[in-house]
Amino acid sequence: MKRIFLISLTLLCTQAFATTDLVVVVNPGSGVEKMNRDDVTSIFMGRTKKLPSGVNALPIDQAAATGDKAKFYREIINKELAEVNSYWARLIFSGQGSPPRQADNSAEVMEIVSNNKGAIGYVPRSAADKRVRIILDLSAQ
Amino acid sequence: MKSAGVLRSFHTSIVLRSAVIVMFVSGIIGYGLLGVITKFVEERVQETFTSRLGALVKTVENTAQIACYLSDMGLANEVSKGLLMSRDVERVIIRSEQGVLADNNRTSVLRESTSTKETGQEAATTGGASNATPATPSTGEIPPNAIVRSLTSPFKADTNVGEIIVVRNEAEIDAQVKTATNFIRLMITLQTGAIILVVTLIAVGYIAHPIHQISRRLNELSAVDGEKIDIPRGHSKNEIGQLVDDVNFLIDNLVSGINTERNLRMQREIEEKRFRAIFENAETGIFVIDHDGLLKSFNPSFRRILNIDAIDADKRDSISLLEISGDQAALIQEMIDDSLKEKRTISGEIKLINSDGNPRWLTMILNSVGEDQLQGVTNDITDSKLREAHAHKLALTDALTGLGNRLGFEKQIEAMIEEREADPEQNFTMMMIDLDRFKQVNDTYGHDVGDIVLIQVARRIEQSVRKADFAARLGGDEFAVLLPYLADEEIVTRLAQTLVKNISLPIYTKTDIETGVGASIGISLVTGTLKNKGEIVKQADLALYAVKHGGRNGFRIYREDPAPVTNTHDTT
Repeated sequence: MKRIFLISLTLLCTQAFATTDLVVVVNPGSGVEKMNRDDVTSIFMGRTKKLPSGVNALPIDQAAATGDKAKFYREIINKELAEVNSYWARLIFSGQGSPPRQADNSAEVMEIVSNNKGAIGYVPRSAADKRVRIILDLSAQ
Repeated sequence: MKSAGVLRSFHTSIVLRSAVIVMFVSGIIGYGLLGVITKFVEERVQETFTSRLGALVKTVENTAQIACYLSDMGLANEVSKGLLMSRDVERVIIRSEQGVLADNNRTSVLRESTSTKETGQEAATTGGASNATPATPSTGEIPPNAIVRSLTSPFKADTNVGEIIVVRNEAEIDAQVKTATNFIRLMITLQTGAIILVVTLIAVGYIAHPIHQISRRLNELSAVDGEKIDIPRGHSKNEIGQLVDDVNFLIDNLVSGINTERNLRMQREIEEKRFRAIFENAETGIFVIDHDGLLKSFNPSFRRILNIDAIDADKRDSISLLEISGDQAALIQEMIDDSLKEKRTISGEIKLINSDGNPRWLTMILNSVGEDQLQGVTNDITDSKLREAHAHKLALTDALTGLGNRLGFEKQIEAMIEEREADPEQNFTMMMIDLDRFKQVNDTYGHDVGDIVLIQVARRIEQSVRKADFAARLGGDEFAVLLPYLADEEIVTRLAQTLVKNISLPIYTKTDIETGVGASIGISLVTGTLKNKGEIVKQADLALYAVKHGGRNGFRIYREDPAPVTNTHDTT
């Protein structure tokens, strides 16, 4: 019953947001069970340096080529990649901060997250496996 | 002294006065205008300032949002210093929830920029620390007109992450206002100056100078000669020209008025001389008197006619016509009263007695010429009066004897009858005398002797009767005597006897001829009922006829009853 509900919800979402099936994942040992969009935004945009559990956060971005990066930022802060780049450029210019570390693809994200306790990244749902813990489903509203 | 002179100039000089008034008025207006404009300019500057600052803040808003989002003091400092590059900004405070990220003011930034680069570098590194230091209490209160913008998260518009406070640079506003105001003040001053200059030039060129010209010309003008003022050049059609035209018109009128008056005066002088000459030279006495007859003025003829020179010199100031006219005063007073009362011309004849006793006749005409004034003329008519009397006398006189003639007799008896008709008591007597034997004398000695006899008889008749009695020769040897107021038979009888006796006395001529005549007298006593001339003469004739028939040389009184006719003959 629950499954049917989820499927229908997914279908609805698919229709509404094209193909957003990204999930935010962390190392299962990070001590974090759930995070909301604001928390994720804070970590990825450099505002927060630690995970809610107190572990130093290591946000992992994806290369722009994957297309997942653009989807991710549109989803969490509703901004284009150019804007995000401009944001970081400003901070880099003033020497105040730096953008997250960048992985080449989802597999590399999975690799880094599974190996680092404070790592946090985003991958398509299909790419997420037992090595990581999904703390936020971006396809869900 | 000097201020008094200026004050006087202010009152006497249109130019100075208008310049001062214009200066004063435009000064006040300029001052008020300056106040209004300054207020307006200040508001405009404030508005411009505020909108400019708003725009300025807008340009850094995104960065400030990020700085607050990240509590990035370095970035906040960068933003605030950037803002302070504008002179409009006095102080910039950026605050996040964590506290103050940056608080810079103009002076500190200036100090910083003048200090060494190293310090600046250091500050930058310090600012680079991403953690917000605990908020240090900002020095100085935030003024109420500071711009305060809350900053939202760059990623979530509904989440506040801090605020930016921009304090305006009031000194700069003041400076801008001052600059603008100074410019306006300069403009107004220049304009006022220009207005004063123009007004002064206009006052001098268009008013003061022409007026001065006209005034100078007026002073030199000999208006009596009909000179005119020239209209100052270029003013022929304006008010100055109008004024000059008016003045010229006035001069024209004045001159013609003066000429007319002069002519009139000359004419009047001539007239006056003429009248004066008439007055002085007239044979007629001309005078003016008041109601009491007091002489106000008179001409030389009057002086001569009334012999004014005979009056004492000290009394000549107030001579009364009444006093110098003796017993005619009442008549003159009556004339005066009538003339004054009836307002008309009264004429009369008055008779004066000269100092030598001779009478003088004057005609006098009085004419009332005012409430209490009479103008009079008088002429001496004594000569004509005398001539008239003489002619009159001649007409009534018998040329030979000097007694009255028949005409004289008739006039006399008519007058007496008239008198008696008015008053029946006025009786009189008429005697008719006829000479006896006169024809013989005439025939014997000729007419010359006859004439002498008639003259002698006439003298004797005159001597025998009273002076008031009237004797006349009616013609030939016939005489008549009228005895007024006398009809007493006794007296008449005695008179008749005397007459007969005297006439009958011998008459001697120069040639020693002795001759004589007798007299027969018929008498009519005019008493009782009124009788006319014919009746009286007839009665006397009848009585005379009776005497002639009764033996002559005697008299008879006529009686009403025919029988007893007294025939009294002179027996001698």
